[in-house]
Amino acid sequence: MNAEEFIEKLKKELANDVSNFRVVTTEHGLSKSKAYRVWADADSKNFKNVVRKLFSLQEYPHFSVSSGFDAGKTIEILLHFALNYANPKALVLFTLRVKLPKQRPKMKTITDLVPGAMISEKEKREFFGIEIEGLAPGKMFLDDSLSGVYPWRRDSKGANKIAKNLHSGDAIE
Amino acid sequence: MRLSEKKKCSIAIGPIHPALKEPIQIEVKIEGEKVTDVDFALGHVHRGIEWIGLRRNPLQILYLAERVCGICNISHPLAFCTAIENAANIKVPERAEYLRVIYAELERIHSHLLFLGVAAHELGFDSILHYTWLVREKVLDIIEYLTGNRITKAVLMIGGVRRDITKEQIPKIKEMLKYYEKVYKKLCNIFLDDPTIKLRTRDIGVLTKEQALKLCIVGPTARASGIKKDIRQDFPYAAYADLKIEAITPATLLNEIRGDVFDRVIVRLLEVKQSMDIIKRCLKEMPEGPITHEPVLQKLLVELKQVANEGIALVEAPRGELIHYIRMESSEAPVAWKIRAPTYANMHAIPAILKDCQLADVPIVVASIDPCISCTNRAIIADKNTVLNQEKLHELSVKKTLALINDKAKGEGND
Repeated sequence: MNAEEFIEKLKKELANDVSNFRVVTTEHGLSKSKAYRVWADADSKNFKNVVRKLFSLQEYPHFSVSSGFDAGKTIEILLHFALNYANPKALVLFTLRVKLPKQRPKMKTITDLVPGAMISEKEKREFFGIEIEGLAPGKMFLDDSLSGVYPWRRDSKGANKIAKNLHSGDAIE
Repeated sequence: MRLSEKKKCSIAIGPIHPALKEPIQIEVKIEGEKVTDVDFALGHVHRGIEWIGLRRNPLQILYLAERVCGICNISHPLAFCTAIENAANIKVPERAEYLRVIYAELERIHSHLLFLGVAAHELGFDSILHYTWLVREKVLDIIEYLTGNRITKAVLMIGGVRRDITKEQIPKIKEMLKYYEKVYKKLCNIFLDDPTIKLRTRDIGVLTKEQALKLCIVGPTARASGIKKDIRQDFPYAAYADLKIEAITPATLLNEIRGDVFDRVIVRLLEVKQSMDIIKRCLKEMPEGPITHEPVLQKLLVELKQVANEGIALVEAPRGELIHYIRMESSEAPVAWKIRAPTYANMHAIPAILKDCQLADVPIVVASIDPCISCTNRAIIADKNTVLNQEKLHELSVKKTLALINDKAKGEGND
């Protein structure tokens, strides 16, 4: 299945579950081969259902990573999937955006569906302070001395006060 | 306790450990000599590069991206540039796309040769380590010749590359390719036919295709388990779009896939040859033309500061799928920058491939995913008395090799 056919199927499958579905293409090489990036938004309560639906399109959807940023009132989490892989020039890079309220950012784990999402979810928990329901306990990146500091936040819980001490010798206290 | 009882204990390997080269902590639970459970933790060298990047403009970030990894300092800037170009809708000139591929494949050759040396070292085979790294010098010399530096090359630029390859430089690249054609046979002979290497790597550290798919494993580690995914083949970027790359699995050579350490060696060895062929093709087919979208950096910076969009890039780094995501909001610095290096994904394989291994095999099994921790970026030392140092692990490794050779010799004697 080529990328365009896959995108059609993806669009149809997710029609009732996502909004702002858009396809961005770029051209490369002398052959002007197209690379396909698909972006879509999902509700924080329904996003797991969207992830579940990807399994109807491919037996093992490849979860690449989740990224995110502090948008002020919300924390946006972007789940990046490389779909339709192992097919020449047919991979579709699908990004699913989920907006979480800043007051109490909370989302469900997808590690029951995609075990390979574990490190990424722990990272989001440690760096944004997101509560991830169902995710195994334990820290992956940051040590306990950074408890209550969420480095990728742009508010008072961010890493600014630590940054000020970066060159002071006894940095993180 | 009677000698026949197998003692259960927990051993912390790392964060500083000869098999790892970089800080990571792996906690293995063992029963006798057999690994029964594994846990790991990261973060020992988390330098907050993304956080620093959010306080810099894109041109400054390029140099940060290059310092994410001491090996993949073409792959990271390439992914970063491609993500920015995607967000800013910048078209890269075709010649620059070919030059990017040449630089990226030179990096793959040096990275895979580095891996082969590390693998030999973990097997207690240091003469091969020295030979492989001697051979690797040639490609590093060429990288220095072309870019001005062996490691941090500073050759990528948003919208293209900073240095062209001139006609006068091509004979030296061809001479390097000729040299590798000559030594490649010897490398294959060492790694594929040597009985000791086979004894220590065949059916050790197995990752099944299903495990690799579920855990979202990438790069040569995934391909060694039979998954034919390779970003260069699957997702057009740079000049790979023109080159019809085919993902390499162990079946390419042996018609069977076991997903073990040996298969991971085979894949990387074959990919050295594949990279040589790609460079040859690029030198032949590379079009003439400009090498950058905008040579005046001040103008480029003004253009980038106006971008209000997000971009994402996938690149096949030597260890597999590398992702950079960037979001700009018409300001000096991006509001989001996320790097996901291949080892970040491949760390999920560590518990699976170490389970049921012999303790002496832990170094080679961990090394077989070619982990790069500086890219990825903690654990509890359960019992300081059971931390194995370099000498002890090396001794265990040498002992196991000798025991296997003796067993084999006895077996052949009985025949």
